[in-house]
Amino acid sequence: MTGVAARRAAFVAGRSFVTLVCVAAWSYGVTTYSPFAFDMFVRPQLFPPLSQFVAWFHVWYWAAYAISLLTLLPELRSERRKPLFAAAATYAAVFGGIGVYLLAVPYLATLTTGSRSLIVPGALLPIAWLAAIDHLACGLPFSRQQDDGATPQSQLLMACVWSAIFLWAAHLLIALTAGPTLGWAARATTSGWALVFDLAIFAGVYLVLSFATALAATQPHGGSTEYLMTIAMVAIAIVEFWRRVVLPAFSFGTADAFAIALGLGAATALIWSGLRVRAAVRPRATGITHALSIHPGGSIGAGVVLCLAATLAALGSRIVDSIDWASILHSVIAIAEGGLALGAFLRIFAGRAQRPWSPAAMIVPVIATIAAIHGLLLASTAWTGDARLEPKAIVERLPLADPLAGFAARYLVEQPSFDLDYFQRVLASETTQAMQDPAVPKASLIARGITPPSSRPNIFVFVIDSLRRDYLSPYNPAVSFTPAIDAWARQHFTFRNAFTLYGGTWLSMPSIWSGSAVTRGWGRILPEINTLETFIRDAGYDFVINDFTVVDRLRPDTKRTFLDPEIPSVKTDFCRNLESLQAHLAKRGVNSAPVFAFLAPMNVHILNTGINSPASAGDYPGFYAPYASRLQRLDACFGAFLRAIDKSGVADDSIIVLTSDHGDLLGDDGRWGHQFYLFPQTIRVPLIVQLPKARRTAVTTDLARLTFLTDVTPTLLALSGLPVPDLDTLHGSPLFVAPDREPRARRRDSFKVMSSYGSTYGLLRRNGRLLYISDLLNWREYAFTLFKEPVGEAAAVEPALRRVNQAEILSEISRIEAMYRRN
Amino acid sequence: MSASYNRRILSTPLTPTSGPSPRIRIAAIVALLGLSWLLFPVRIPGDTGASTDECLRLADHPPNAAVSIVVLEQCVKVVPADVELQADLGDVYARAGRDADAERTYRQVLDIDPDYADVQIKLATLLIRRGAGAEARQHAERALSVQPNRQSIRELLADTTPQ
Repeated sequence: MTGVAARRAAFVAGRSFVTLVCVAAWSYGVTTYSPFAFDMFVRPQLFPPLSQFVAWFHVWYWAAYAISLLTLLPELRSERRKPLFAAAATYAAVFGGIGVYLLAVPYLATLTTGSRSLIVPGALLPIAWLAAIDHLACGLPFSRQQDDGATPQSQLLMACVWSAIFLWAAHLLIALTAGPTLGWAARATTSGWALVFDLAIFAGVYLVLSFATALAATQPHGGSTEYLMTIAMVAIAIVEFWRRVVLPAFSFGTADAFAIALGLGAATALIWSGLRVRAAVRPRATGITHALSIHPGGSIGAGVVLCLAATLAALGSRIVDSIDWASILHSVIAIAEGGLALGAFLRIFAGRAQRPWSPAAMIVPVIATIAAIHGLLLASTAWTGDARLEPKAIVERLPLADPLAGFAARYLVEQPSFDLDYFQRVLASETTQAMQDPAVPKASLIARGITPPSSRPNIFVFVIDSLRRDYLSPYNPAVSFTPAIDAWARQHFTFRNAFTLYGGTWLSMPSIWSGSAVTRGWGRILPEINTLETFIRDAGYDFVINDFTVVDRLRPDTKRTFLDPEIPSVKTDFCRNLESLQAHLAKRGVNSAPVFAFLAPMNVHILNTGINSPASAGDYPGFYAPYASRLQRLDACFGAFLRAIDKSGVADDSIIVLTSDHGDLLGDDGRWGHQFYLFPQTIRVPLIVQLPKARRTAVTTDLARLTFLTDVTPTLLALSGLPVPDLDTLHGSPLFVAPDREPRARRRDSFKVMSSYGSTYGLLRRNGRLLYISDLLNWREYAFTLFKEPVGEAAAVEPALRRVNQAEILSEISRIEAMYRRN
Repeated sequence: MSASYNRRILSTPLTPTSGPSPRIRIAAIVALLGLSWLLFPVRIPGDTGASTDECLRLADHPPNAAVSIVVLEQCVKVVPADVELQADLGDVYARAGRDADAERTYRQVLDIDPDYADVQIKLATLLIRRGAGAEARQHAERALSVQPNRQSIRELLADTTPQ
């Protein structure tokens, strides 16, 4: 490597480091800016690397500052170009001083929203300033060249076509080596569709870049114009991707999402352009080529970049496959891969003889792509029999088989009777945008200052995060790795039709504590709606807890023992918690108050099963081994705990509830995690209840009744002999009643379910046997019947079904809004 | 490597300048963008389906006298997954004295949802009425497994015990 090349590489590495630090600080700022995202991810320290970054931010910041000064040394040494010197010196002074201001980042959580809105964009200022210096130092490329720098049409066309084919082939290879078994017909059909949609994406790119080229040809410095337009398009693409895909998933409203995306898009496009203007313009380069081709060398260098891009994308896809946010990360990888491929092919085809601009070369590829997509759908009417070959099924699979094609399909294909008005009304509702100032509902399951209950059994509530019911023997006879839970469930009450109202911990957990449906702004009013806490306090329980969702919002004077406080939330371990609980029980005296224990361990959360899978997961045919192996360990610990409390006699006067806050997708149909999903695997939960010995035959229940996690708290109140009012369907009701009564039936009621993140809504009707899902993030709707175990069957989304369910979802949303709206 | 690439690329002819003027090119591209905007998004041919809003909502409330057997029968055909609707039809048959139809309908419900305790009880009651005590007992026991300790089911079970 020559000295110039080494200096260049060091410069790029330095700028990249500074950019990464600034964008990471900005990302953290954005997360704290959204009350929902802050409460969900930052407060419970769900991502330890993020917490570490923030804790050490001062080191990162000053390192980035020092490195940026090193990259500015040439400008700081030369006083001949005074504006440049002034800009560099001002950078040194301002960001040396503003460091104090930016060092507020670790304390963002404690600041007001107004202060945050100043600091968050401030994190992008250093890179924008550096980019300005780069442009000031080097000017725009092509501005002093005779060559007009416009990209030939044939070069652009060939680069786009080959980029599409290359990406399609790369993803096909990944799918062939890693994809679930679909059968050759389905796989071949999906691949065919993927090719058409990959070509469609690049037909769009070809059209837009051709527009830039044609417009540039009308200007005196065509190359510079083309270059600037390409950079602007990169900025627009980043803004659109964040605005439409990433930020809605964090429940940002339209205006906030636009402002945030605009800041990031402008800053990253500027810094990119700064790096490009500092690079030498290669022979016969054009505005587009210079903006998009980053690699050194000619065709061979481009080939190396293509191979690297494909390999890194394949590896990246494997890594993110099991992460909760896989769908977004897959899109990011596909878009980055697409950009690199386009740049490489532009370089490759720059060396070929070019043809004159031809109307046919402009029109035919675009029309052919449009015709191919319409043709595929028309031809699909001839498909018969195999549901996997139906267009809807193929479009559904596309994001999993080829993220770029899936991304294209999202915008180019709509479902029948797509109702924009409905989608807009749901997206605008207060259940989607976190309520900033919710009111405390008038109706309550419990009165403050209750008289002591007539009965005070020990109560153990175990909410195992992300525990899937079909991974437990009582719900699925194919499971052999949970024998202790199986034996226990056989002796007690196994509710077969239990659901969570929310597909994520953040909303599901407060719904358990309050015993009612909640709104996304629940954190501000939890002390007033926390039925379970009122019960624990007023009944005088010895309160033991390990949970990170509600614990910070319990009333300060609620006495509690927090188990294993040294373990971070994501590492909470059921076995360790149960050992600590047993130790706590052993320390108590004969006349001690009864125990109320609430544990919410994360052993089988996808953050653990997806990333830190044990090397020897064991053999669990038909099940996801990293998950099943962890569950097997939990089962053994739970069995040991049950034996211990049986032996000590504690179990005879105890209520034990085993459930989860939501389920998870473990590669089902290629999907992972629970972030935006409401599929049966996500919202069906296990619910097994042990009653005190004396109560087991003194009550009845309906084990097949539609049951929610919101029923847990009213059940505990009722079993303690407290009166529980019969409220509407937004509140839970007791699971157990006297043998001469019937639990409240729910066969004719509708219940709205929703994802914790993003805007995915669902409706359960007919005792929870009919599930309808409106996925507003992906503009998709689904229907399921849930009679067949373990996960039900997909059903057709007919127009009448859509109308009825959409109307019910809107109606249920209105009820929630009315419940929490401040008049 | 880079030098040979540069030599080759410099030896390739420049972009020919012939062809339509930039303004015509822009017009053509804008026309294509407009056409794409008009033709997308495409719509997947949907399930037209036979179900109707009325049938899908019919079981939202218990059937009243105004709902005729004919309407219920038609709706059960177009919304077969709605067991509530079928159970309602069974009830209407039973009230009309059409025990055989009621029994057949209840059995259809239980084929789909064997955990529907109330229908197990209703079927058991019908079976007792026509003297099929042994089969009635099976249904009552199934109901009791879903609603353990429920007094009315225990009484039903007692009725199925041969005297």
